[in-house]
Amino acid sequence: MISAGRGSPGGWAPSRRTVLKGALAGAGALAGAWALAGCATGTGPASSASTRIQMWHLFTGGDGGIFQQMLTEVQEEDPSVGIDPVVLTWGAPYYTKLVMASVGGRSPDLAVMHLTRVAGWVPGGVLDPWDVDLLAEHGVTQDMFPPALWDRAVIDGQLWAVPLDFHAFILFYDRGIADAAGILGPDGLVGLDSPEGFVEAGRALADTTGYAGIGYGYTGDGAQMSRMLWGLYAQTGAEVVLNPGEAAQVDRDALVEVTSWVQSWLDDTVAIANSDYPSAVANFSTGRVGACFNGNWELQSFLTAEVDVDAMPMPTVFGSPATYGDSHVFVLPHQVNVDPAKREAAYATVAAMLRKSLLWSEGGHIPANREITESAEYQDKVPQSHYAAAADEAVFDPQAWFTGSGSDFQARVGEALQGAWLDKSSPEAAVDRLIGALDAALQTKPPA
Amino acid sequence: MSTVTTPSQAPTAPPRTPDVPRTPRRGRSRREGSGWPFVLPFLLVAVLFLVVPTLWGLGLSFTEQSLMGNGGWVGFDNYAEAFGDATMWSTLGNTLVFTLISTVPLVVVALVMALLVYTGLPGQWVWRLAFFAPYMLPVAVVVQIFVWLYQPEIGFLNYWLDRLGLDKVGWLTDTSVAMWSMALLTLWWTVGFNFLLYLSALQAIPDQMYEAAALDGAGGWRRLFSITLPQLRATTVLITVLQVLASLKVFDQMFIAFNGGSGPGGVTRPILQYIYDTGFTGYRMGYASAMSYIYFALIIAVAVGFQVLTSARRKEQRRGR
Repeated sequence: MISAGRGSPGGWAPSRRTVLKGALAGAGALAGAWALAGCATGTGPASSASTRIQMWHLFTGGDGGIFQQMLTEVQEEDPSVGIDPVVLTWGAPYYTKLVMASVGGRSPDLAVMHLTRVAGWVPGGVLDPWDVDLLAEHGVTQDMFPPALWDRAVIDGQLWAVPLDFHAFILFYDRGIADAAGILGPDGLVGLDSPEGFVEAGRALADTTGYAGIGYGYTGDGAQMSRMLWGLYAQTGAEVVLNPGEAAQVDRDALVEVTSWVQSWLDDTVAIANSDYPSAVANFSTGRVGACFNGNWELQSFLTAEVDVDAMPMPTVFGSPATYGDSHVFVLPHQVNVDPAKREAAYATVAAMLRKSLLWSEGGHIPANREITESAEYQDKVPQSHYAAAADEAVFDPQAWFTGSGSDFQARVGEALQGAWLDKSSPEAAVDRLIGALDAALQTKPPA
Repeated sequence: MSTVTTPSQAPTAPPRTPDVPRTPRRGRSRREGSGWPFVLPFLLVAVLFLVVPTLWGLGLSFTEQSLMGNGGWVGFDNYAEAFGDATMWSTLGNTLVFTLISTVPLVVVALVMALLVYTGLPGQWVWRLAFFAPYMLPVAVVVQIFVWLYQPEIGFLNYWLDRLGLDKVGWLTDTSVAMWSMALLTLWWTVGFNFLLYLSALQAIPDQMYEAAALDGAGGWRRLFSITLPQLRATTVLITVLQVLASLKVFDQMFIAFNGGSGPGGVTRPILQYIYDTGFTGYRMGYASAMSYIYFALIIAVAVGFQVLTSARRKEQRRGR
């Protein structure tokens, strides 16, 4: 028994000292490699530039490569400005880092964030407003942007953000499957413009695929549920007004109508009820479903999977057209001492990036610059131009300090809705829980 | 024990009395002084990154400080708000549920595994390695593995349940299952550590005890209950304390598995994540600090409770002998 207890793996066992030495050497090598990598990222293509600005952004997926290409082209056109990008993973922590950098007095000269988060940041003084006249000198004017985007970027009469794009929650579909299901017209899908019509189309798609009609991955994902809910809610014509200290002003009946309608087609035929984000993407990529609700940023993954993909804005199920989305915007993090040369370079960079944003549509996003979306080159881009109308019917997360992309509140929306959509519990109860969460958040004092 | 020798040496000391009291004192102080350089780096780090932030946080908890840098003194308002905050209590409940359903299997399964390996199975090192290996994995890797196993449509577990004609389980989506999924994941990940502690404790039990018991005609079960388990009592207390404290700190598993979300119906969000969400996503540092301190007080109460309980029992045992 004892010999079994002391059994050693064999004579080859290394001594503790050699193991420690090896581990130290390995750690040293890693640290060295990291330090070198850190040096490498600092030097952009235009190292001779007279003004260097630091820009934070959150594009790490397919759009990260495209964004970098735009930055490179911008610097080649104007070598006097050098841009040092800092790329951080998208998610709630991105905003934590950006706020802390601003508060710590080490904020970047320029940063990308989501339009829906701007409202929460303005009172805290972590952003500087844009000078509209200076923007106009660089050729950036209000009439270039869809009103829905510009209006949201203006708070208390000042412009806090310059939109780069609108990224929408749209309906992708497989042309081949849609055609076989008999719902493909000359200008896209037909018959989806009523609650019943949409469900029928879903059944037709399911009959064709033999699995399910439409992919919608939402379980455990408050963002996906928020996108569906607020987009459809706006289609009913109802509005949300959230004033701190007051009860939430929402149309409860409209919320219940939307919630029960989505519940009705998460029936494992029109759409699989227990489906999360990755499995919905996988199902659409492999033809197990004929259509898929998702953000336009997934376009590249569907093209890579060689789906015969086309897309349209959110089908107008409840009357008035509305497509949920958010907008990547350029902001000026607050500087204690503004360096005029760097500010100027930031304005010039933003203007140049907007002019380059035809390239940005490669990643699936809808450029905010209308001069681009109205151009013939953009109109030739399919399916991008087929859903570009989404920017004109844009709706966002309800405006408050606690809402928006990457906010904790989207998780509260998810908590409320998942029971109704997945477990088929009462939609009324789900809506009441949601309103309760809104009210509770409105009762807490906004951080400033 | 060493005190026994001192009196016998004492009589021989007097001849050298003038020197004796001085030398040891000087020697001792020199030895104490020479220790400081070794302790200093640790002290520095501890003060900088533990003591100062802890006190800073206490100060913060009385302000409405925001992550954006503004906020003033609010006295006990944050504490008052926290005690009336239903979400704090429900997330605290989630943490306690997790602690309960993770600690019990993490102690019992580790013990059973150690007993099996120690008494019955050949090739002990293979088992030791296999049981301990998951513990070496980083939490992100473990959670990724399990999230794929738990996948609702294409995951390994549901695939086989389906093939066997059973109902699929909403591992991460069912409000009554999700926390168990987290506990199962944690069990697989960390049971190896407790297993090793138990195994080494088993090896420390003297063989004579078993021999003597065997001579007296004790069978396997009798030896297990009368020798092995009583001899393991100290280890069990140690493992339980460590495990309870580790489970109360749970955060990573849920945070990664639910992508920073709160699980179905919010049932898996532990209190630490609520504090994190409040402070770093909602920017309310003051309120988050206040909740941290409430939780801190609770953990201290648990630790002290354990201490009192075990020392009382130890005294009883000594008296019993």
